[in-house]
Amino acid sequence: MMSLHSRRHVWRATASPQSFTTLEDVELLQRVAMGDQAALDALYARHAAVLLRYLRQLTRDTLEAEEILQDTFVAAWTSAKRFEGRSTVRTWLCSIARRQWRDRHRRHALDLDQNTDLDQLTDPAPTPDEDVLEAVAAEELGALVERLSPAHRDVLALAFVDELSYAEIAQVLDVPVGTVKSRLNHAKQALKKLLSPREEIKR
Amino acid sequence: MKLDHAETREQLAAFAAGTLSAEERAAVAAHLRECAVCAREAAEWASIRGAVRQAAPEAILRPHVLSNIHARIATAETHFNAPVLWQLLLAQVPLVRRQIWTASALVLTLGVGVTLALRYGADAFLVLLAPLVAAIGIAFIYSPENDAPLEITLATPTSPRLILLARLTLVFGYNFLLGLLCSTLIALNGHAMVAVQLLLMQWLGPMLLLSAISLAASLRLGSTAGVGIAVTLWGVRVMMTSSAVQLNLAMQQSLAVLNSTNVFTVVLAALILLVAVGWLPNQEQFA
Repeated sequence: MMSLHSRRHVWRATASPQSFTTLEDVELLQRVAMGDQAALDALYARHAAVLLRYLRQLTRDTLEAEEILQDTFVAAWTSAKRFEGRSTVRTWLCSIARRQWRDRHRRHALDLDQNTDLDQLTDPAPTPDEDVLEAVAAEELGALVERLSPAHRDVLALAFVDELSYAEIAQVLDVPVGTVKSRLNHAKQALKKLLSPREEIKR
Repeated sequence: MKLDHAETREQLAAFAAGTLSAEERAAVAAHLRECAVCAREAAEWASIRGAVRQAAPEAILRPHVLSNIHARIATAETHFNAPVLWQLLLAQVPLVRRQIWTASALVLTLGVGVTLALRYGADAFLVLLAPLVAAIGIAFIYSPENDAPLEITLATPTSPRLILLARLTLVFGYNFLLGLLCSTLIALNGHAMVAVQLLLMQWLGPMLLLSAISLAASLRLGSTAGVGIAVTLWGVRVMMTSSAVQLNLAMQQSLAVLNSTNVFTVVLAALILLVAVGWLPNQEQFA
């Protein structure tokens, strides 16, 4: 899994400060662990934008998303020593961001994880009338995404905003890979369900 | 690489997200050319990708965020150089079940109180109680089934083994100190005809051994089983030491070895501990 995704360490490097462009994320984090603030800035330049986007999806409040982004990088600074290389640095940062959000919203965090019961249900077979999603404009569908449950928004954002693989999402959510797959499918079904009453009104 | 229909369906979200390897991507694309059902679902995932990215628009990183991080790091720096192991130990204090602390203290205080009041057999009482109390506490230090904070701790990049060892150190250290305190109290009162270190030698080895067994059992079979096994073993030990049971010389000698602090008990406890910690699944963090 690591080898499949290691390519992504490098292509983001263009956005980082000059002297660090050639360093991989893991090397940067090692420097952070030794107290190198410039290395933290380089990691920030690479990953902050996508983390902020993810946090915006979780909180939908820009100011709070920015605060949690701060918490995330402060936490990364203090716990860089404990990074063990079991995941990519970006996956690790996503886990921290998600945990910081959870710590602030214990009650919502419950909603976020309670969804696991749903995941146990078998995947519903695809209905023949499958092409409804394509017919809807992205803006309209985007508005519907915001009405999904936190758990569904979370997994969709990790897949399509953070662009993490199933295995990486599984690490961030601390669930098996199979659960990630079924949760994504449930999110899709939920989106369709939100869409169906609208379709019926049209007819 | 060739993917069948079901395998392809699983990969369609990742296909739309662009997170597949080149090889996986080619395999999915090949299937999509042949399968209308999957092709339609892939198109759906592409719409969803667009919608999700629409719902989380590219956010502008405002400069004050980074400067706030710098400011907070500057104040956090004092903590930064504190030894990580010590931080880890302290962090576990609120996460270990509170009942462990009070239960151990209560039982041992009661034990000391009773024996001091009886003015007789004080040392025997302590020697019997201290290892059992420690072993019972240790059976509860690491039980994923009813430990909500543990779930969060496991999401941190700290290895579960390290967390286990930190908690073990805390609870065992606590019980050791309690035992030491009680031994000192008893010795100071002159009820036992032994010095503190002799009293210590009588319970420390058994405490190590019983705690290691209790930990191994609780990790494997759950806290309740850990307690059950520790109590049973200890009960057998008490029965065999009592004069009611006739033992041959070899058994008496091995019992004497097990009932004191020596190289054998310490090494045996360390071995059991090693096996117990080694058993702990490494991938639990991301199970």
